[in-house]
Amino acid sequence: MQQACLSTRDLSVGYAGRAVVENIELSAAPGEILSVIGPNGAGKTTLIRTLIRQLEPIRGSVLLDGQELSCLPGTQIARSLAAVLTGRPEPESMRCEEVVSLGRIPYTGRLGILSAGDKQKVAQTMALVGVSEFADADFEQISDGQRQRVLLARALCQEPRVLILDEPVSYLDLKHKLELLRLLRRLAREQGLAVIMSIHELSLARRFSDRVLCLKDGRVDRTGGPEEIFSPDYIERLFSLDAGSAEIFL
Amino acid sequence: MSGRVRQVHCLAALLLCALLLIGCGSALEAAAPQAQVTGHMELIYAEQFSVDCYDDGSALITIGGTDRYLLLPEGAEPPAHDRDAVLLRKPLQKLYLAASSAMDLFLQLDALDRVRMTSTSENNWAIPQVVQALESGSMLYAGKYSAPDFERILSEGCDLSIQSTMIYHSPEIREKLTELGVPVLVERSSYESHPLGRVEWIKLYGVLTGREEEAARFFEEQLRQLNALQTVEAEAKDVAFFYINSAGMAVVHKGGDYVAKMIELAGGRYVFEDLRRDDSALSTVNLQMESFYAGARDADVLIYNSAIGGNLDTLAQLLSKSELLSDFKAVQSGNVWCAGQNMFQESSASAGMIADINAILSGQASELDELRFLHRLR
Amino acid sequence: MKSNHPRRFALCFALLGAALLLLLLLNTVTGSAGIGPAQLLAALSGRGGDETALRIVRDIRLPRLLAAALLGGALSVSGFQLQTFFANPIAGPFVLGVSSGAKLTVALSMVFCLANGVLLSSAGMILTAFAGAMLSMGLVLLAAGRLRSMALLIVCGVMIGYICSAVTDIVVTFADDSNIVNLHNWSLGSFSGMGWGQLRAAAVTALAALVFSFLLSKPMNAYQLGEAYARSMGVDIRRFRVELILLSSVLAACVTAFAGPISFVGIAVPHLIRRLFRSSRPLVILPACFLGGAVFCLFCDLIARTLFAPTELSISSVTAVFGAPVVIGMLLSRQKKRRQQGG
Repeated sequence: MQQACLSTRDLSVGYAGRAVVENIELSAAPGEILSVIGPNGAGKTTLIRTLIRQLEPIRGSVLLDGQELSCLPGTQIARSLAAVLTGRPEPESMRCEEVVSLGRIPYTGRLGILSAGDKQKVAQTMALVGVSEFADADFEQISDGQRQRVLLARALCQEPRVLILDEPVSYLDLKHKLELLRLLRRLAREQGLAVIMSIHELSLARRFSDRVLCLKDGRVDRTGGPEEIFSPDYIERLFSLDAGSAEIFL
Repeated sequence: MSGRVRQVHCLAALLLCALLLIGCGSALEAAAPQAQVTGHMELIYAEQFSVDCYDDGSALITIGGTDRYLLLPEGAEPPAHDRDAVLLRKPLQKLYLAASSAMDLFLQLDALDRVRMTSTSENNWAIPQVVQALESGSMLYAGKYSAPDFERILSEGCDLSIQSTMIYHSPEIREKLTELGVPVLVERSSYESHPLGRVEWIKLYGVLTGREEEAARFFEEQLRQLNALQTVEAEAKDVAFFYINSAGMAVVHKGGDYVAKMIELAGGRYVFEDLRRDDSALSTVNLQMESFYAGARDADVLIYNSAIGGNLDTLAQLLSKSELLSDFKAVQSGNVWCAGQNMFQESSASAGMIADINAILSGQASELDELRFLHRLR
Repeated sequence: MKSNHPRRFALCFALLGAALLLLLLLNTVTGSAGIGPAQLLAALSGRGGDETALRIVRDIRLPRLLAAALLGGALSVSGFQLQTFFANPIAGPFVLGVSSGAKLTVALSMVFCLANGVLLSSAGMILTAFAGAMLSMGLVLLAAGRLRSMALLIVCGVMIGYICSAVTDIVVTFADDSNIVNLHNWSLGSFSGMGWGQLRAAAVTALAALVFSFLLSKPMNAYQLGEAYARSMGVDIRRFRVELILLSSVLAACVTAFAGPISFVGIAVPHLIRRLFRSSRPLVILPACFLGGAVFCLFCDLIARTLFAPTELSISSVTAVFGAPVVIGMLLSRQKKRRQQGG
C-alpha cells in the first residue's frame, strides 16, 4: 500500500463559516486518479478550492505527506501541489511559453528569472503535453482545448507530486476530452502523480478513474472503485434520477 | 378658394390694427413734453460710466455704454423718456453691496449707513469701520456674491444691489435678484485703466446717495495728492508687482493695466509693461518661472501682492515660495515690499498707494519699513 | 522553438532610450525666456555667457525636466501595477482615491492657513498633500484586509475618492474666492514650481518605491493568471496585496504632492508600452513603463510650456489630449479582438 500524498482529516468545507460538506476523509495515492462526482451544489468546487488553499477549511485539516497544509510555507507547497482550475484566465499579451514558464516560479530566484535548467524543463514539459508548436502564440488566441493543455503544462512545470484539477474537460469537445484524460492517466502512471479531479462526465470518470468520491447532501456519500460506484442503481440515487435513466450516462 | 380669401381678409385686418397702434404711440409721444438734459457729469479719468441730468430731476446713468439706470427723485412718477432704463428711486437706504471695492468709497462719502448687506464676511474685511458695523449688526453678511441669501435680502427690503463684474460668471443670480424686484447695478470700475478712474466712481455713488458735493471734494483731494508727488531720478526705476500661486507660477498684471499705470504715475516703470494679452479680459497673466526670472530679475523694486498670495512678514517666507528669488536684485538690495490686504479694499486711496510707491522710488522711504499700504520684507 | 523576443525587447528599449535623450535635450534648449543657441552653449559650457541664461537653464529648466521625467515614469509604473492587480484596463494611479485625499488635505490647510494668517510654504503644501494621499491609502488598505473580491476593492477605492471630493466641496463652500482660485490652480497640476531641493526629495521617495516595485515583478507575473493560480504557485496573497497597494500609492502620492494630480499618463502609457513590446512580463514592462512615462510626460510638458508662452497650459489638459485617444483606441481594439475570438 503506497503512502498517501494528500489526505484530509475530518475536513469540513464551506463559505463564511457555514459548512457545505462535512466530515470529509479522502486520500490520494501516487499513480492514482481520484475523481470527485456529485450533483450540482454538492460542493465539488468548494472541496477543490479548499484543497488548493483558496478557501479556509471550516473544520479539520488538509495534510500533505502527513503535515498540515496551513503550517507549510507557500513555496514548499507549490513544489508539491499544482492545480488546473476551471474558468478562463485572460492575461494580456502573454505567450503560451510565458504561461508555462510561470510554473517554474516556486524554483526561481528573487526576480523570477529562469535558469537554463528551468528553460529546459519548460521545453520538455511542453513537448510532453504536446503544445510545443504554440509556444509563441498568444495565449488568448488559441482554442479551448489547447488552452487547457497549456495550463496543464504550466502545472506540470511545478514538478508536483499531487495534481488537482477542477472540471478539466467541461469545455472541451469529445476528441479533446479523451486526449486530455488519456494524457492524465499516462502522467499518473509514468510519473507517479496523485491526481484529484472533479468531473461531470460520468462515462469518462468510470473509464479513467482509479477511485471515486461521491458528494451528496453535505457529506461524502460513498468512496470506492469505479465498479462499485458506477452501478445504475447508485447513480440514480446519487443524482436523483428516474428509475432506468442512468443507463444513458454510463 | 374661400379659405384663401378669408386669409387675405385676416391679414389686411391685422395690418390695419398694427398701423393704428403705431400711429397712437407716436401721437402720444408727440403729445408729452420732452425733458431737457440740463447737465452732464464732468469726469476726468473715468471712462466706464456717465451721468446725464434732466430738468425733471431725474438722472440717467449709463455704465459700460450698455447698462442704463434712471434715478428718480423721491416720490416722482416715472417720466416718459428712457423707458428702457432700470428705474431706481431715491432715497436708496438699503443697499446690498456685493462689490467690496465700492465699500471704501461709501465710507469716504460718510454713507456707510446706507449699506445694509455685504457679500464679504466680517473676518475678511480690513476696514475697521466696516468690521464694527458688522459686529454691531447695522450691516449684515448676505453670503457670497455667487450664493446670496435671497430671503434675507428680500425681507430687509433692499432697494439696490451693486455688484462687481464677477456677477457675469453667475448670470442666474442677477436674474433672480431682478426677478425679486431688487435692481442690479454692475459697477465696472475694475475695467478702468487709470487708477484714479476707479476712484472717480465715488461721484456715481455720490449721485446715488445725494452726496455729490462730498464726492467732488474727496476727488479734488486725491488729485491734489497726485500732483504733490516727488520726482524720481532720471533712470526710471523698474518695479515688478506679482505673487506666486499654488502651482508655482508667477502671476503678474498685464501692461497698460491699472497697476502698471499706478507705477508709472509714481515715476517708475513696470517691468512687464510690454505684456499684452488682449484676447482675454483677465487683468493678470500666469507666467512661467523662467519668463518671470528673465523679466524681473533686475528690477529695482519688488512688490508682492498679498491679497491673493497670502500675507508675508519676512523675506524668508518669500524665499520659501521660490528659492530662485534670492538671485533677484531687489532681494539682494533689500527693496522687497509687500502690499497688504488694505491696498485693495481701501480703493479710495489709490493716490495714497501711488504716493507710497513714489516714496520708495524717490528714496524717501529708504529708512522706513512701514508705509501706509506697503511694508518692507526683511 | 526560437523566439525573437529578446531582440524585440532590446530594440524597443533602445528606441525608448533614444526618445528620452532627444526630449531631455529639446526641453533643455526650448523655453519662454528666449535664450539663443549661442548664449545657451556659452551658458552650458560654463564659458562666461549671460548669468541669467545660465541660471534659467540650470536652476529652472533642468530640475523641471528631470522632475517631469521622474514623475511621469512613476505614474506609469503605478498605473501598470494597478492595471495588472485589478485586471482592469482603465485602472490608473488614482483609482484608489489617492489624489482626492491629497486635494482634501491641501484644501483644508489652505483654508486654515489663510484664516490664521499662517503662510503655507511650498514645502508645507507638499507635506500636506502627501499626508492626505497616505490617508486615502490607509483607508484602502483597511478595506483590502477585509474584502476578498477585487471588484469590491476598486469600488471601495472609487468611493473613498468620492467621499474626499465631497468633503473638499463642503470646505470650498465656506472658503473665500482666493482660496478657491488657489485650490483650482493646484489641482490643475504643474511642474512649474520644481527646484533642485524638491527634485531631490521627490527622487528619493520615488526611486525607493520604484526599486521595490521592480522586486515585486515575480509575484506580479504570477498574478497575471489570477489570484487563485498565484496562490497555488506560492505567492503570499495577503502580503502581495499590501505591498502593491502601498507601492503604487506612494508613487501616485509622490507625483500628486510635488506636481499636483496629473491624469492619463498612468492609464495610457502602460497600454502603449505593452503594445510596443507585445508582452506583459513585469520584469521587462516595469522599467519600460518608467521610460515610456518619462518620454510621454517630457513631451507633454514641452507642449504645455511652449504652445502659449510666456504663460503655460496645465499639464493635465495636454496629457488628456494625447492620452485619451490612446485609451479609447485601446478599448476599441480590445473589443474587436474579443469579437474575433468569440463563438
